Amino acid sequence: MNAFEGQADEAEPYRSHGRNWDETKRLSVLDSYKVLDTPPEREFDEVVELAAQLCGAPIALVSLLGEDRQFFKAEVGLGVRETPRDVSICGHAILQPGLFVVTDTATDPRFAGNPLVTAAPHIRFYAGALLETEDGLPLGTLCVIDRRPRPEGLTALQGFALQVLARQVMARLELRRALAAREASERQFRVLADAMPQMVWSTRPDGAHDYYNARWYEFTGVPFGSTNGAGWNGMFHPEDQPRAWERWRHSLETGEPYEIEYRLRRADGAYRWTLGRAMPVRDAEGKIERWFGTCTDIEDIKATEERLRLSEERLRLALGAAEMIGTFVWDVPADRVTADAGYARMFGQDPAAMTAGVPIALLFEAVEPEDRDRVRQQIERAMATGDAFEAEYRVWPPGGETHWVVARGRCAQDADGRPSRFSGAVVDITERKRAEEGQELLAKELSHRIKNIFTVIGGMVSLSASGASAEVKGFAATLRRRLQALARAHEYVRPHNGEAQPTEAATTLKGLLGTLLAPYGAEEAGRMQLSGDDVPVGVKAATSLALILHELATNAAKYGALSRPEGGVAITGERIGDRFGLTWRERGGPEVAGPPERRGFGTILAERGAITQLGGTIAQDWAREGLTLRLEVPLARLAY
Amino acid sequence: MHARRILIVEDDPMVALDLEEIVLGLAEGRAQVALAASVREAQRALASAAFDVALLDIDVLDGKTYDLAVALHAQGLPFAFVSGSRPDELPPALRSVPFVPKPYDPAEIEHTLRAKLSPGL
Repeated sequence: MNAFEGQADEAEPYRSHGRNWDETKRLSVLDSYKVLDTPPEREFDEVVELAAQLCGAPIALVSLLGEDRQFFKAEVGLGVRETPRDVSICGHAILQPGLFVVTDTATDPRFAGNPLVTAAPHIRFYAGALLETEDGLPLGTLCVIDRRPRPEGLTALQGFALQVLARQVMARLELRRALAAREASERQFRVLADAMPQMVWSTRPDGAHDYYNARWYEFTGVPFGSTNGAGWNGMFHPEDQPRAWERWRHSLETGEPYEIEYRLRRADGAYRWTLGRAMPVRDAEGKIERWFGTCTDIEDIKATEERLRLSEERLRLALGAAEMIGTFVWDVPADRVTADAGYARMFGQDPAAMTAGVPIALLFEAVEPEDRDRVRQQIERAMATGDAFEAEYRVWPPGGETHWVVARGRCAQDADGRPSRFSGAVVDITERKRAEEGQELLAKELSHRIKNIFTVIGGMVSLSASGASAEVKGFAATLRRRLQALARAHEYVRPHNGEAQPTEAATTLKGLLGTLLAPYGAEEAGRMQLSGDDVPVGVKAATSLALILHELATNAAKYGALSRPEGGVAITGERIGDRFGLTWRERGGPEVAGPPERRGFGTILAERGAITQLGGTIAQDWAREGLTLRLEVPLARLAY
Repeated sequence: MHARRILIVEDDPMVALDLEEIVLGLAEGRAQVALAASVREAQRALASAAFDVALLDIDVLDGKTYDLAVALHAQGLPFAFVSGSRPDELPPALRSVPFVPKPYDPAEIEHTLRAKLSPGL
């Protein structure tokens, strides 16, 4: 039987005839079977032995045709595992489908001169069945060879058997290839899994763990394989074990993805919070064939979450416990103010409504009407500038009492510079305000008392001189006026609550002078000029200066520059380093003939005591055109 | 200054006497001064005699003299406050009343009585 069809091309016997495959592709596919040059395998050996026996032939081969040789995966009776291709008969066999039989090579012009025919192994008969892939690519043959010609060829049964066996060889090769591919795939998986920073594991469909990546073993420090099956559960924190079991069981039953947080024991014994997740892999019918899962260390995230939770809780407690503070956020474009329970309480709103948000107009209704404009202005200013917002105002919630609050906040702007989010806090300062008001009342009371005392003393002085001589009356009047100056100084440096009434100006020398000299009216007429530096002045300094200046002015009015309409006094202040100099210069009065021995001058000398008490100096120049007096006091003492 | 009847409402005896001395000195003896230490006393005095001018302290024994001041104003009786309070503490209606702060300079009392209360005084 010669199944030969078609003509072989003498020059290029390997070129396909009427076939749709090309040699390069064939070779590459053959290569994918990774069978060339591999050791013998029992399954193939058995096939050639059976083929040889079935056909009664001394030689049988599983022959695979490579680029320039043929390789015998299995052979019986030949003794070699490869021969060059150019002399191979199989090279011809692969060009035809089905069975290729040469009954006598010696009479076949294609093979008569072939060295394998003319010399060892002296092939005279050849029958080969194609080893062909599903796509029709011939890889080689399963062939039987005899040293004597067989004109009768193979029996139908032998021919059939050879072809069946050839298909078996192909099946075997396919299987080998698939197994190798699977192994390669698993190898890749392992490399990938071991490279991942997470722990990776896999289980059978019944949930028994049979794979963990290197990371798992590194982390847990357990011996390889010791956590297979169900041993993993023991690695969990005792409190988490039942929960994890339950969750895993649920996933196994329902096929739902597995996800759970638990504490996993690290090699050093520490438990670390871990996120465990797994997904099933299903086969073509949808049945789960394997679970793949990961464990991710989330201890640090959890620790941060816990700190945040504690921090929030503390804040909530603090805000809740201190009834006096509330926080708010005003979504400006949406005009929605959301706030916490403390704020809701202060403004008399329902806490649920404040959580959902209310328009700002609603909250304004709780603000004391007198304060609304001021608060509105402050809000607008903060929205326009983005600067910090601060306003003190009264809140009068419906059905509640008026409370003083201070609100502080800041308005964030969007990309276009428009107000977007105004957030802040409101603090109840009613206690502080009451204390301030109390202080203010005390200050007023004190001021009243001081004024009363001076009034009474003034009265006593005059009344004591009642009915006495003119000289005594004169003394009384002088004394009364001194007391008046002192009283003015005290009223000027009147104690007040500076924080509550910041609009009260600080007490300064110029201010004091203005107050003291007002009764004279001369300043209005321009006869007393105040110029130069000003300096803050405290109570003790003010009262000392008051007496001195009172004397100077009184004397100037009686005998000096102010006794004449054309006379005047120039008072100049000057800072010199850490000292302050005050110059009193009289001009335009009667001619001065030296230091006077006038009544009352002794008082200036008495006042020197006050100056020296202030650590200052005093100097007088009795020039003819008028008195010039200069006093110098350390700045520090002036403030006292 | 013609003989005048002057009502002084002041609860501190020293200050009341002092004011009396000042007024009498101003009037050169031709004045009659009545002293009241409380609003009630002042009302009694006003009910029993006619006065030409009054000096009112604000805080007296039985409270503030605001209502009294309003009554005097209604009567058309010239008066001035002589007080340690500050003018801005007064009710708005009374803020235009002549006001001499305590402690006062006797000259200021004289000045006020002469110039501000009655040109003929």
